[in-house]
Amino acid sequence: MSDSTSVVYLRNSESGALVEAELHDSILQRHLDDQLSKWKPLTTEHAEEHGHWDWQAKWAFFAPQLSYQSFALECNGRTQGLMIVNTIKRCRIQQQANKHLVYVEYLEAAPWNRRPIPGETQYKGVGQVMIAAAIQLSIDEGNHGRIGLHSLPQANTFYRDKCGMTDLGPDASYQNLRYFEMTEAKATAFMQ
Amino acid sequence: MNKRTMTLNLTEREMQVLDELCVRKGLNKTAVMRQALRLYQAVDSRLEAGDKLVIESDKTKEKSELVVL
Repeated sequence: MSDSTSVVYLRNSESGALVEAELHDSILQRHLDDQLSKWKPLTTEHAEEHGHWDWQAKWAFFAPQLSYQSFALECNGRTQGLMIVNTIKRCRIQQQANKHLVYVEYLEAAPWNRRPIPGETQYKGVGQVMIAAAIQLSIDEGNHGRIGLHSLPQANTFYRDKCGMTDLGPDASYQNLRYFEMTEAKATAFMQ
Repeated sequence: MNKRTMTLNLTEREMQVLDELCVRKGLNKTAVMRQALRLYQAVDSRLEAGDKLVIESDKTKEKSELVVL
């Protein structure tokens, strides 16, 4: 699997300082190992909504398929976020219906970035960096920044209020999770 | 992501369809061909696994199997 990296920035929660991070355009084995050994025990302990997500199995399924691309975010020698996106889905908002978008299948930030955990450095901005990566991929693919996703309840506010995505409501065909979509205009605004 | 270049020979009719898809989807030719390859692989892997490709009419909810060779 080829891998290239970009420099991005996260914010150290404690000091407020911006710190350099590396965004990889492919999940590597060390990211999966990090998730399994460092994230999973913390996620399971708190019985989080996505505690059952098995990134090793997901990656084994998605990696051979051209439709999917993955991203991993590293900072301070630790994996801070993982994302898998689908590039063959289409828009639902009327004004861009049936046009292609980048659909975020799975996005997860490390547990210590979602809540304070003693002994772990908390970074803010993992979600924003990952959404920006999905938008940039959408732009690179000729989709003008259009992205879509189904949100877990805990993240509805983030996608609606912080990202400016349009809330199309619960999707009966997808476990009643709310479907969010970003228009080209909102994508441009998010990236500025 | 590393990329490689190839020359693609199409008939006039195929090129016309490609042009039409580019206009309809707002994509360039490379993007349409890449989407086609991704979709082909996605469908083929499901068919190889024994699944069927079914098209459902949004209006009538009638389902018909799409035969893919």
